Amino acid sequence: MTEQGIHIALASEHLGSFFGIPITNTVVMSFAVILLIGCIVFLVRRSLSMVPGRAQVVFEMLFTGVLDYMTETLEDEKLARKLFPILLTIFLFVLIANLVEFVPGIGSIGLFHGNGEATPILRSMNTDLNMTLALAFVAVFTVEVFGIMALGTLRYGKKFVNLSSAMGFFVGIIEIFSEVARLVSFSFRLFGNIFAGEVIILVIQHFVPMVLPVPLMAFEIFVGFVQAAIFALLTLFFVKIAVAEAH
Amino acid sequence: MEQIISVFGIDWKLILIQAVNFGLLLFVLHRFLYKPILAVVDARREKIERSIKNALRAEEDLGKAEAERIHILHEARLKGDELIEGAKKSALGEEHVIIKDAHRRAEYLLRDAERRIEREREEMVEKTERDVARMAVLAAEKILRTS
Repeated sequence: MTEQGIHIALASEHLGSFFGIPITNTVVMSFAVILLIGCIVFLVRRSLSMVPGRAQVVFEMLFTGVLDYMTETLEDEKLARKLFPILLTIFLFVLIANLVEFVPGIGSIGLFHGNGEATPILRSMNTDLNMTLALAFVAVFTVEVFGIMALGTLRYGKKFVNLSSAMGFFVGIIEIFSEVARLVSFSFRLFGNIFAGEVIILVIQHFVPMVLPVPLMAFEIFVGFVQAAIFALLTLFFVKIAVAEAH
Repeated sequence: MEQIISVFGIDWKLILIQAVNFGLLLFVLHRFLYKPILAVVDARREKIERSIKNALRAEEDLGKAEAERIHILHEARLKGDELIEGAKKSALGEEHVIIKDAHRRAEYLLRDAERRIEREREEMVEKTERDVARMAVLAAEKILRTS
């Protein structure tokens, strides 16, 4: 059997390096996504006015809706305003990356090596654990920073190092583990969902190249939206827990 | 652990570069999208709030003006009624005076006329008596002459 099987790699493919920084196809993809979002920002910003156009209304509704929900959840408008940019950026970044996943050319245009194998230049951004880990680090870091900002270093640290009682000490250790576990759950949830979607579509395409992948793609777009929302919402809830007073 | 890292291709440099990418995106979105749009939304909300407040105040003013208008109208009507009433009353009083005056005058005139008539009648009677006496004398003379 000559190279007919499906080639699935968990790791993203190296394309080369730039000043010692490894460049993989997901890095290229994330640049492309940022560029795309930059274009959207430029277009929206150009026609910003007191009497909004259609695009502006959509963004305003999204922003005010998210901000209202955050204010409701955190019960603190100032805090919500501070957290808002990070949260919405996570959401938009993940969402747009998941939506452009199925644009033709992504995963199919690549560098040929001559022996029938190719390395795709673009690969769906969240099918790389490095990307999701980076986002998880950002999210967890945000949570910690907001916790310290709200309570102060000492009072926030008391949640993890509590020497007042044996029970409190063990609870603190469990807290530390759950903080670290968030990194894993954040990164693997997003990675797993998007990667699994890609693989399922790849497998279906292998057997039935047309029509059948379409509903699956639609479902994967839905999954992409849900994952983006979950990532942002979990960050919000963890911040809510972090700014709450220790018991 | 080593195996996981190699299977998933985890590389701290890649994590760092993706985190930096996120930071870049965060900066761009915050600077060029979130801030301006939220500023516009806030400005509009403030404007609407102010407009509503102004409209409420205008409505209140209108209500006050309406109330004042009604008050003024009412007062004016009262005053007008009073004036008319007063005019009527004074006119009635004057009428009485005029009529009484006229009566008095008429009585006076009547009495004057009666008095004059009485005097004339007396004069006439006197004159007639005189005339009768003279004629009697004349008649007597004539009779005396013929006899």
